[in-house]
Amino acid sequence: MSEGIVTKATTIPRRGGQCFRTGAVALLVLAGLTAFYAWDPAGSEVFPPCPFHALTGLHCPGCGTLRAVHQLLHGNLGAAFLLNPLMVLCLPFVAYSLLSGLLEMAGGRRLPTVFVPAGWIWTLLGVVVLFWVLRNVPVYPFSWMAP
Amino acid sequence: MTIEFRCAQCNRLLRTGDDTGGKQAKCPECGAVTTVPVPGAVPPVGEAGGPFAPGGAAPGDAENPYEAPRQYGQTPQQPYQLPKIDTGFPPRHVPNYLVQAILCTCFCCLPFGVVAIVFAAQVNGKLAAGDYAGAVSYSDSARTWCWVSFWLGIIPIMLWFLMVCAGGLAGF
Repeated sequence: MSEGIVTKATTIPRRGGQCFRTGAVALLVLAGLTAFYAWDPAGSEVFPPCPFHALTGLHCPGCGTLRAVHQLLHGNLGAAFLLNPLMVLCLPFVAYSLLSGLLEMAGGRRLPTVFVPAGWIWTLLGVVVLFWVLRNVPVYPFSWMAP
Repeated sequence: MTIEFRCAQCNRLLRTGDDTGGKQAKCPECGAVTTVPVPGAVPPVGEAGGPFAPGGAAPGDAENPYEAPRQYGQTPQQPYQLPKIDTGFPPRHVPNYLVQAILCTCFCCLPFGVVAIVFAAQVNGKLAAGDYAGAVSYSDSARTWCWVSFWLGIIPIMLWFLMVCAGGLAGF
């Protein structure tokens, strides 16, 4: 096995199914966004309640996400932030990864991978847990976190 | 038969001849040099939630399924064939499922997304420490907990919609 010899690799042509799958996912995302633009989950009977909230009466870190998405799509960043600051803060990262994933599925190149240092993820974990606890404290400096 | 693998730099699916296992291959897209994996030697990792080569034979299945087991006690002739590329990044992309974990935390309403975040942190911790095998193991755990979280979130929602539909029909 001769090390050092560089073999020429060929790219594998993308398959039709791949493009179809990408289209389907992109369409699904678009349909979801349209639905959330059109209907406000606040005060809607059809949108499901949070199972954690229904069971315990407490707010989970995800409570208010759907309402916040609706507000975001209408450009109300402030209102969205008040409903679920965690989701709004994580959004740029999630959107970047989604775009990168879609590009890859379409057979293209991924966007540059962001290597998040472990310390940041532990910090995020701490923030999530703290946020979970604090948004259930119905006293002034924390009460705004409740959806 | 050919060997299919991904470029360590641009992640594009590549193909080389059967006899190139262990050799260096140049990616025609980005020009990076990746070591071609030896079929059957190591199950490939790092493909986010899917088989290594969609539609193609995964290295190490079909041909000789019993060849792969590492000979314990002996020094393996070919240890892990990691692409030798000096980019400062881990040899192959080990997904930490952080995005999925965040989505599960924000949308699934149950504590299991948080468990996935714990594993995501451990994946990147192991990667930074150079413990590749450890990172892969935590990566698998992270994926499992994302799915647990996803299904536990989605099932109540499905049930809710069923109830809403049933209630709607009962109204007529």
